[in-house]
Amino acid sequence: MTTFKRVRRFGSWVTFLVLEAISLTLVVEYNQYQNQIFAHSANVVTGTLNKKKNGVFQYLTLTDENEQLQAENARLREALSALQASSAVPDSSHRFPEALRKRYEFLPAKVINKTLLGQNNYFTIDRGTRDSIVSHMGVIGDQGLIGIITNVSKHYSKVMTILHPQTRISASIKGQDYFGSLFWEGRNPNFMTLEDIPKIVDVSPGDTIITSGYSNIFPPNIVIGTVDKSGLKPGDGGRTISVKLINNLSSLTYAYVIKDRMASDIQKLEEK
Amino acid sequence: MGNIISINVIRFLVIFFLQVLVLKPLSMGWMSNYFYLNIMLYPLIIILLPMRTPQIAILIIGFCLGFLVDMFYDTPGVHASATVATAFFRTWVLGRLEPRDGYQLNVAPSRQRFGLPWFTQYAVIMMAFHLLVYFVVETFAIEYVLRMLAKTLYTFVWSIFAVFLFTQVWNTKD
Repeated sequence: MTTFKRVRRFGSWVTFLVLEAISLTLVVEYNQYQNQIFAHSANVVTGTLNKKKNGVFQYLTLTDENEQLQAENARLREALSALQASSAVPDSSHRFPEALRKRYEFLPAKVINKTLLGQNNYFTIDRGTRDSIVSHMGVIGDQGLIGIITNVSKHYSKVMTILHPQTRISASIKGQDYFGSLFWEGRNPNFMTLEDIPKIVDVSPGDTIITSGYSNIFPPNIVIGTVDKSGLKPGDGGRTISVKLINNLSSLTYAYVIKDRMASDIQKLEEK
Repeated sequence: MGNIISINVIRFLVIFFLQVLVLKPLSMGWMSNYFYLNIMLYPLIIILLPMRTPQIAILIIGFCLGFLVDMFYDTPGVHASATVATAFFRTWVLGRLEPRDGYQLNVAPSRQRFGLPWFTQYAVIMMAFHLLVYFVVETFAIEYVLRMLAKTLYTFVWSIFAVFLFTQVWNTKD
């Protein structure tokens, strides 16, 4: 083998190792915490392109979407009339300031891109800093939860979905005061796991799981899903519950970003 | 010469956009229903690069390709590391599969040049290697080995089908 060949072979080994190191650093960086720069630039480039593509293919699903929206309209109307009926009962909440009763604002958004294949699943929605979105806001669908905002660009934001190993949501069983931590085990996109529920709590399949409201991200009492099965975790005496999600993330098109008007207030207090 | 380069540039663009604009949405169930159909066609770009491409150039092309795919798949580094590994592996595979009378240097390792049996074993080895590395990096954890292998196998079947379909339609010699 000539010296020249040897140098060339050495050079390609070095190139290989350097490029592979760069790639794996990217992977690890990203798994540790959201790589701000990458997410941002990817949002700007692919967000625009994806939006164009969605514009072309949108009409194909119009019928389905219309039906979904109609169903949602019907549900809202029902809820409204129920609310009107119940407000006939003397309501003492009016002595509280208006701002408190209307603590949460729901900003409609459109899902323009989804990553739903691997372990780390993200959505991109078409709302950004222009719509005063900041990271750590909760995102819900017309049923169930979607995720938490992690990165925001001017027009788009990136949502870390509930199907992501880093997502932890404070949830409780409807009608009981205990709450635990809800996370995804990374297998079935229809099931999540609720743990740290005390052993003494009585749970049966079919019970409703709701948000607890202790996290400042999601308001309380949003239905997440139902109990599929529950079991005792060996050792620490906690109960682990498998939760069947009420929504299917892959068929979602519309989402609502939750703006908590009290968020900065609470944060200031808790940082003291 | 100029012809070989322009064919490769156009093929790069066609396969890349096919991957991120058609196959990626397809793997999401084309906007709505969820089904797992994850086809990876882009390693074909590396597979079909001309014989005489310097190895360092293959590695750099592989890195850029993987990185671009990553931007669309929102998976920084995963496709890039797999593609760089595949690009490096290519030289070794071609060395192993070398016919008795050696290679012509000016051509691409394509089906039209080397015949179906030779191209089949070459493409199968390359795709299997690429997908295995990809899913190892994506999973990144020992406890999901079986699921990882299942995903690799399933994706491999569809991807190799796509490779043969593509080389059937795009049947230039280089």
